[in-house]
Amino acid sequence: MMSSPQPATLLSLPNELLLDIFRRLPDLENELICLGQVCRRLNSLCIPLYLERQGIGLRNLVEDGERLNSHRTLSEDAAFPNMYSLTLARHKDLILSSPHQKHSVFHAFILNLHEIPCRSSSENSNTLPIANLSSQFHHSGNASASTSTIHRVHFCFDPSNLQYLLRTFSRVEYFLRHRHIRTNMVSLYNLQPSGALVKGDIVTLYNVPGCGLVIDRADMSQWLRGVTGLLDAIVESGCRTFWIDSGGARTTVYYDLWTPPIHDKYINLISTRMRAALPKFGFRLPFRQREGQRDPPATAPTTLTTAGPARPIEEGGRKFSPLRSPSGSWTYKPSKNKRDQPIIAEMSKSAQQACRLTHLIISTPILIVPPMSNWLFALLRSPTCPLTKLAFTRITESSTWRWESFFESLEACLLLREKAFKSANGQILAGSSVLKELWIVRCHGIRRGPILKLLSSMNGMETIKLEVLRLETLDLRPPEPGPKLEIPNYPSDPRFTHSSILLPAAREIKFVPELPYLTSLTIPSNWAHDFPFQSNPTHLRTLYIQIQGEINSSQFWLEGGGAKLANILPLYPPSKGALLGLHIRLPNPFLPYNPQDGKMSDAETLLRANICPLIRCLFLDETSWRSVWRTDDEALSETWLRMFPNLTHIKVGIPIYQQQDQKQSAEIRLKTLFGGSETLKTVEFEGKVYDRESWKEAVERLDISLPTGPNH
Amino acid sequence: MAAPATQQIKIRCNDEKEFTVDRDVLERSVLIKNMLEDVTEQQDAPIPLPNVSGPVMAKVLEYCTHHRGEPLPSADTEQSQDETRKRTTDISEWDQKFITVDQEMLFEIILAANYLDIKSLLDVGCKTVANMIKGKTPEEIRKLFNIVNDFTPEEEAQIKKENEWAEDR
Repeated sequence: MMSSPQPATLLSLPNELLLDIFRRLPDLENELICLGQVCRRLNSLCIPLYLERQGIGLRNLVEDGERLNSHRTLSEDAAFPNMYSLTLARHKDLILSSPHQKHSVFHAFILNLHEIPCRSSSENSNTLPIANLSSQFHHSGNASASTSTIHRVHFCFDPSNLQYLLRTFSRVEYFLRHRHIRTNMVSLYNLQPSGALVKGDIVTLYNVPGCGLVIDRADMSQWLRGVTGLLDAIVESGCRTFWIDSGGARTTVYYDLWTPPIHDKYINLISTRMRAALPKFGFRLPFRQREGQRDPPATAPTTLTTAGPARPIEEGGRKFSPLRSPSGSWTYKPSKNKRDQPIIAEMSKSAQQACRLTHLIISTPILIVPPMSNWLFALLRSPTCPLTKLAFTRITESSTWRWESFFESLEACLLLREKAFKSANGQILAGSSVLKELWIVRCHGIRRGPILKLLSSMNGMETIKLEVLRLETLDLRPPEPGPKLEIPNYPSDPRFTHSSILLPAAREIKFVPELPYLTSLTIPSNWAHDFPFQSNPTHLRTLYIQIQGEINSSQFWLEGGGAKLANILPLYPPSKGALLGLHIRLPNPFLPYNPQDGKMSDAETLLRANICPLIRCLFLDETSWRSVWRTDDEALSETWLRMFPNLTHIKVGIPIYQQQDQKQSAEIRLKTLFGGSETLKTVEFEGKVYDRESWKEAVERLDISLPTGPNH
Repeated sequence: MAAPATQQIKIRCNDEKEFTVDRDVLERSVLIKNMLEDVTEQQDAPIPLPNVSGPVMAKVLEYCTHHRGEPLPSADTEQSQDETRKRTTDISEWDQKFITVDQEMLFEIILAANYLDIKSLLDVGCKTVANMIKGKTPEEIRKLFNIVNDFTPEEEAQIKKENEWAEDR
């Protein structure tokens, strides 16, 4: 300031004035290189300025209204119409923490994203010559930033510059690896050339958790030509987690947040440009259509029988062009137009060999419906693929495609893979990676029989999560026991996938699941009787039973939640310590489930079944939360807690989309938790675990008075 | 703008030095202009300017007096001229002579122009500094502005390495 006794120098000017000065430099790009080497402060200013000059405007979209920086938005005529905006999303500690910390993290991102060449030809193509993040964090003067957690970062891009996008992915990955952040990082394609970020315009979302790459919401509802090879390239790039989603299902709240209108042309645009860009980043490209691998179908007509004008015809998924012979008759030859070639959805061998995928999450039928399912089955069969988790979410059975047949093929592939890992004495080799986690969540139309049949041959499973909507569609009959089959020779043709032949070759049918390694099980309540383990589930630590699920309320009240629970829980022998956690999904456990005849409430049922003392961990989802904890009756919450005399941990699931006032209310109600239970040690709320002491501090910060409970 | 052009306004700097200046000269400063518009009654008390010292204010007033009567950039024209203004380092002859001062005074003038919101003066100051930076090496910039190199040797090497690609282009 002017009143300062120190003489004014260049560095006494505030950042905005320095930026203003630098912007006037005629040869800015070269000057910035010099300025960036002068001192740390000028260095920190140069990179955002360089980005700005490249047309990479950073516009802060943080919803709390606080501006992170003073970057200008990009100019219209920029050479790089790349990144429109950078959003540090609203929830979790990043935004809730101090602005300084927020700035530091943001700053690191900017540094990390600045445009540098990717030397794909060099051996060190993976070592990114980017700014030293550690020093930049240090420079920002906030050591704690290094331990902060970024929960969601949105980058919005114009798909017209995929080169920039892919380089950004590398940087994001680098950032994540070096910051030790486990995060959900989302980059969004904004397909509106003008650059305005409109929720409705977000079409594709690429998700990068850790070192993985997730294609999410890429509208994979059709296997377009561009998809062939693209998935291979992603797998070959070392992707660990692959989440393939469709834009079709919009039933979840998450979709409500980002409702994407999906247009094939955009997806085509993205895949075409991505294909063009990939070689520049050292990706091997199995993109060539495998022409000539398939002969025209034998049934294809070769002569025209009608005298009408000759038109191209389609037969067996392949197009044929008419050709007039000298004799005047018409013959058909397979079209040579690439667009008329059949789309072959197979995984390349190089992708199978290079595969490092450990988690595969599929939320679109595209990889499940034949013939596109070939890609998935090739992956699942590959003994070099280290896949351990397979998840299917939000997929609905259609009239032309049945879960049952898919499960049969899946089972065959998994068995063949497992077989490859087995030693001569039938034991799974130590260190080998077989499927350990299976999620089938919110998939419509699945019947119980096929699932149990599938599980019966997957006894290496550690986590099973079955959440099935529309329980009324489930069959009620248990699966029929079948003959015990020997496993004959491995099919000689590895591309062979037809389940009717593979299954007898691979499956040993057992209808009582033996899951000796199971540690976590999620099942709908009316499936619970199908899991009486032959051998005691000694490893089982978490049992989620969906009592209410998506059944409509009238059905629920008639059947009763607590009564069902009381029937199911004894099936899991408490003496073995099997039951430690209970996931409650009860609208209100204190209401009689059938008010007409005054039957017992769920709470009473639980108490009478003497189950509550077994429970150590309680998981309350938002439904229970609303009914039990958001009530004005504090005593009710405390009574509810005292029902579980040995409770040590509570996890409360408050969805991210909760309104702020609801969240506040939830926090206020939570204050009673430790007061209501003498044994409670930890409370998990919004992803943070509080012990008694830290919870007290948190409550103090909220300016809420603690209740006078037994421990206060 | 109801007040007559000859109205005299008193201002007081942070070193207690007072100036009595014609209102139209002072109104080159958007800050003071707004202050004057907010005050309906005529006041004898000087306007305090706690961020500007007497010698700097004298220099600023010299600039404002010379440019009195010139149209102030309006909100509309400001934006359109913004880009043009930034991309040139041309300075008029009088302004060039005016701004030929020692570095301390130059930065003080820039800070004062920023505080008083005198766009054209800020422009002249920033252009002058940009001209000083233009074409210089990092070492020359450090020497010119008396900046200490606070990079560690490792950081310096890293930055140089990062910049190699730019030089290759």
